[in-house]
Amino acid sequence: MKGPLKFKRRPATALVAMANSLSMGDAVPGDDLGQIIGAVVTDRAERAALLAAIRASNDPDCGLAVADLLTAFAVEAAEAEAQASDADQVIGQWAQRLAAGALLASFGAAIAGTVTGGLAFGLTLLSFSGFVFATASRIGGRVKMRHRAQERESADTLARHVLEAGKLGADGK
Amino acid sequence: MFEAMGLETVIVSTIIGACALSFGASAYLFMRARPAPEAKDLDKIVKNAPYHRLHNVLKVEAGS
Repeated sequence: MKGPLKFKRRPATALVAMANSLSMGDAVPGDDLGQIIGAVVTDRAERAALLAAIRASNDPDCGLAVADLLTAFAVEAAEAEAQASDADQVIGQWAQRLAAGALLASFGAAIAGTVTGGLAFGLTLLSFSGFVFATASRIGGRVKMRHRAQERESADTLARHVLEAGKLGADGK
Repeated sequence: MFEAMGLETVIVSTIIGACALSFGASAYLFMRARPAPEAKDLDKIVKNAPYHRLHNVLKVEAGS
């Protein structure tokens, strides 16, 4: 048996409060909710605090509401991840290939003597810097994609654990 | 009309065009990957969350 635990004001308890407020029919700003969920999902201490808060809550529906919000966040993150993946496959890959092709073409033209002197040097430099830029931007896009994938997985597992914690809280007391 | 162009002009303009396309696509990807600025301070959201709705569900300290 636990005594009456008092929780601090932190992102985890703010999320429980928002979920409770939503289930009572009050509106909560969507971007605030997204930011809070993002902060809870990526922080281990907040995850633990959320599970403890769900276990300690007196309302068995509270865990359900929080789990549903987390699942909705995971779906949004999956959508963003798919968009980033599309951009990488369709635009990023071809930008890189195009720049690499231009680099090879400028080498070829310079070697064959079709383009000579400063112009050949300028073309090679231009296409080389294009290749470097394309590679760097592709890496940036992929880092973001991986970040979204990680958020999605964390939100999914946290939603499952929250449901379990809600069950434990209802039965265990 | 294209017969008047020399081989050099054709090759140079093709390479420059390919580089311009590649630069444009990369710039677009950079804009996409840039992290969106946080709309509000997290502490402020935490402080202003509707805790009054939790009064008989969960006990939360009044102070920060």
